[in-house]
Amino acid sequence: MPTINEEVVQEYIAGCRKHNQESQYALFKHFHSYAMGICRRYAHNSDEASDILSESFLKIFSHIDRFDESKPFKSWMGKIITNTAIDYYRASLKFVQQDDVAAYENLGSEASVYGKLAYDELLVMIQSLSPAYQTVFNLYAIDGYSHNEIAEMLGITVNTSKSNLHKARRRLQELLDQRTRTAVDNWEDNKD
Amino acid sequence: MKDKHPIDKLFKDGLHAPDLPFDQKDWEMLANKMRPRKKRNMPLLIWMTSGVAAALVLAAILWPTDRHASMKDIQENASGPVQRNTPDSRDTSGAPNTVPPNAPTPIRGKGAETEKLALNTPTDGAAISEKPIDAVSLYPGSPATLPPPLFSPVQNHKPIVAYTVTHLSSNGNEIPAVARTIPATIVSDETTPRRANGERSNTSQRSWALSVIAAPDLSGTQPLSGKLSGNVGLIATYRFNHWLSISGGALYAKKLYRADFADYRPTISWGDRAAIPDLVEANCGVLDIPILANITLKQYDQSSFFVSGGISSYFMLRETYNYIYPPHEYGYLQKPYTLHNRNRHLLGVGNLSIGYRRQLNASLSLTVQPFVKVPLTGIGNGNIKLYSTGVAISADIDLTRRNR
Repeated sequence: MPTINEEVVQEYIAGCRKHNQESQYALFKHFHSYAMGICRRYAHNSDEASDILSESFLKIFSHIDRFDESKPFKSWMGKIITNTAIDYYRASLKFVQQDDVAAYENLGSEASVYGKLAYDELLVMIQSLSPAYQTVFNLYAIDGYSHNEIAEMLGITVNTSKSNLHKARRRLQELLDQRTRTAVDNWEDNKD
Repeated sequence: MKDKHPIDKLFKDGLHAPDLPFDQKDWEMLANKMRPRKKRNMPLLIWMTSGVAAALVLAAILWPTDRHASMKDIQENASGPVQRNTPDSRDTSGAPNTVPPNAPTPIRGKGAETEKLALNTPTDGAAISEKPIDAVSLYPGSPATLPPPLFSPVQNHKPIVAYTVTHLSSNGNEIPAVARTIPATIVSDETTPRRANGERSNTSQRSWALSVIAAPDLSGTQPLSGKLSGNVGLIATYRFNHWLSISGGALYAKKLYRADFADYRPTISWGDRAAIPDLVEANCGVLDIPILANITLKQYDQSSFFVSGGISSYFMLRETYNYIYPPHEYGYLQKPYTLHNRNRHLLGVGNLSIGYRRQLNASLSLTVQPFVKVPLTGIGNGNIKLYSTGVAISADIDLTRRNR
């Protein structure tokens, strides 16, 4: 049985199918935070995130007739946004082929464990990755795609996907360590 | 089930469902993209208009200024049947516009029509006789009946000479000469009407003009530098007197420029991210609404020099930015970012220019006007200090004269 929230969304979607602009605005506003959250993870700055967001909703509104109402709208929308973000950077996605993938297989668990960090801090770190690392990390670590799916989506090999993921993690680990050192230095300065 | 990598878990938990505030600008961007847009080739239009205007200016400079031709026309008018009988009548031959120093004076001649013309050179027309005229007696306090001048040079005041043109009337009756006076056909270097006491008539000097402008320029973060851009538009000018006028209008400006990212300061903070671009390339469509004061510096018979100063409001109709990132293993990253109707800068740009205007005929002149536009505030999404330096070329139509 659909919740009240889902009923409202179904109403918005029905309006969007009729190209009703008020419904489009309502749907956009309802999912803005969720959608923008995805866009920011894949983008390099706020401007580009806004651009990806509008491109995504343009596709959502123009293909809303293809949405299967028996499935969750949020998942369908999330997939469109992810694909739009990939398309946005596709031209600049230059993946580095890594042959010796096995070398990375056992390194993952060495990473330090950090407490919960602020959203903005994490966003800055992920946006500082190169487009290839950022995309693979987003797809695998946050959006839950497998290496096989990522390889298919990006037109790369599974090994390339794995090596890019590993390099992304290593870079993020460096940034986290750097942040910790800065925090410790600041703490010691204040203590003195 | 395999445990999730700690880094993956950290970022997934922290970034998965953020609570971000709704931004109306995001909807406006989407709404703009949903509107179908007609493609326009503005640069081509700008350059074509500039080319035509430049050709016209060249033609104006090379235009032979034959004052004798004007005199010939006058003689023809004088010796033939006189059809014009209003003080506003004027020479339509393209001769320099002139204004009579006199108002109609009743002159009676038996069995004849009389026309009074003030000329600075005598003519040899058989029907024309010469008679010196006292300027004061010719101007009996009715300056409002005189046509206003487009220009009002004050140089070369020469003695006024009147020519009385005698025609045989058809019925032999005396006709008051005042009814046949043709002030506008009078040729004189003195193109500004004077009152009886010698003062100029401000009322008659007031006029409206409309200018069609094309202005290629260089736009960039420094004066006299940047990429080639352009402006086209319409400017209306109201002339108060022979030295002062004000102008206002609307120009569509294409601003193409490249800026260091250090000069680019978007309102939304870029943050301390590593992925900082080197350069920003901009392509903006701007509605420029200027308000200008114009002061005539030097006035000649058919040309003048002037300075203009004023202030413009910029309405950023469309802004497209390309962020160019430093070379990296993933190559150059270039992706355009476009905004529509996002930024407005009221009175945000200063204008300064000097100009040369050349009279083509009674109601049309051409102007060449080097200018610089100085930012008084940050322009566009990046709050860039955007300078424009160029040359405006305009065709100016004197609406007051045309209407008469």
